[in-house]
Amino acid sequence: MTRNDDFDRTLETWLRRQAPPQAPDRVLEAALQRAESESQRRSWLHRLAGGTPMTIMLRVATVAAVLAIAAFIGLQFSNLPDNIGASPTPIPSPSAEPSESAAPSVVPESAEPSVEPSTAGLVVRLLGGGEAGRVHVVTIVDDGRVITTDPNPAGGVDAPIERRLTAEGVQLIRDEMDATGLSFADSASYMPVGPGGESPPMGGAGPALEVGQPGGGTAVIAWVLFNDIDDLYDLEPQPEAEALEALATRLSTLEEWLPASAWADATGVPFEPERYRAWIYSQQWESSLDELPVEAATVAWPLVQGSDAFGDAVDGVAQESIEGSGPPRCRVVTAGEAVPVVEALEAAGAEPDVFSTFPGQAFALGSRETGRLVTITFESILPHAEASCGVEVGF
Amino acid sequence: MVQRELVELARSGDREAFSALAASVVDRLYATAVLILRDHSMADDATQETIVRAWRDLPSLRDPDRFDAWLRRLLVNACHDEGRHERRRRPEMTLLPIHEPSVGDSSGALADRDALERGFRRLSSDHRAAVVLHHYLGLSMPEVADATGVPLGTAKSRVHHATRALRAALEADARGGMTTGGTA
Repeated sequence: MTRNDDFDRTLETWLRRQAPPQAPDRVLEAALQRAESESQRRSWLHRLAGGTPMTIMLRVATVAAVLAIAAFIGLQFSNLPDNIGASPTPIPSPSAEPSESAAPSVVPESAEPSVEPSTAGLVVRLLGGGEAGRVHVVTIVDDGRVITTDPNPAGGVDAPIERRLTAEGVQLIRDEMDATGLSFADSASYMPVGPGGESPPMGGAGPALEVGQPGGGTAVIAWVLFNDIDDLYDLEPQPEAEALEALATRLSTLEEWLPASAWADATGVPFEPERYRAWIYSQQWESSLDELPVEAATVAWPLVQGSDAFGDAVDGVAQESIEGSGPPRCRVVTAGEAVPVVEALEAAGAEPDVFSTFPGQAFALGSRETGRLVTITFESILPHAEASCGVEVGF
Repeated sequence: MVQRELVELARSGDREAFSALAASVVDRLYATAVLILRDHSMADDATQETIVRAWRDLPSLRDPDRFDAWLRRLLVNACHDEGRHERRRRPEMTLLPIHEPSVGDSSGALADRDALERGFRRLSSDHRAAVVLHHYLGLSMPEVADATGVPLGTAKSRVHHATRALRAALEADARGGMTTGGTA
């Protein structure tokens, strides 16, 4: 028996022992009680085809209304501003609450929102789907820069890495996009739908591509692909979503198929953005703080004046915050402001927040005085991403 | 009555058949949800939500023989929805009671169990789901991909990364144990 077999057996035994043998009675009782008040959903087509006593006029009116709504939605979607979705939409990692005893801020509070300056155009950015929102995977710029973030086993992402393509390499990326047969000229959304236009239940967000346009601006192409889903639902074929999924796989595995000649520098170096979004957040932590060796109050906080004084609260997140948590606060800071803080945190041995899905660096600290978990996250602002904290946050 | 008949009846709106169907699957759903979410309260909610969604969306299930696979998909989605709030609830989560007799458990097994518990809790719910579906329910990788709605490669990657992380947790714990033993 191999070492892997031993481990698998240990894991399987542990899982079996952890599994409760039966559900509490209340679970089934409550579920059936809730189901009692629910009607079954049947497709529009099914209902229009018969069974429901609708008049012909009402059926026609219903179909017309559906078409009108679809046309309206399509119109709205085609009129999306160019920069919509230009920022990834991960959950902000819980970020840190400043200590009351912190050092005075050395950072002015006047970071103006703007698009991260870059003379190079965006070729494409891939955002992976996930239960908590979209997560950056790779950004390719036409000056050859390739910025990638790799997932870690905890579900977060590692800090972004930059490599560089040749002009031939950039052209190969464009060729891959052309090979899908899609134009990428307009924002579009490809979701699995049944004959009645209804989507099956799904959680989280699907992946998306942000594609730079020749005249500036960005088109956002989103899709959801359920593999083998047609075995479970009566869904329409998804050739576009399948093509996009295949493209996403290619974009996330560049090193596997690009020839050596496509790389000007295949050795990854840490991506150094000009600016970061600095997120500060705290929450009640009822477990032991022993796992968080660095005490928030003992860390020099050049960014922080005091509690609730840092940047701006992000409203959308604040509404969703758990009880006992302050709203996440955010401010755009320069690399010159952020890097010394990151270095100080690393030197102090701060625990990396491996759950963070931001492309950047995150640290979790303990505040024993307040019994709170405090984290600070420096999210790299990627090329052609909006340099502001007014980002859409995917809860 | 066999499951296929119950599914067909429930699909056509028979609430009694659906109740029988739900009763036949609730224990397995709940156990799976507990393992994925590591929290009884959240598992309660996810299991209930799965059953309610199953009733509501059953007419869209084309092949009654695929009921189990379809239900697993619903459960994983419900766990995702609960897991979406997990980060915010993380401080409130409690350790699960262990459903096994403690008598006769060796100290080594206890250490393994604790290390696995710690390692498992640090995985994302996506990764936990993949591990539970593969190693607890015994699903093949294509079935794991089907249940989680991701490409086969992603499913394989999740199981691989998660088991690697768990194995690392065990090995780190073993190293720590040896050090402690040597200095005692």
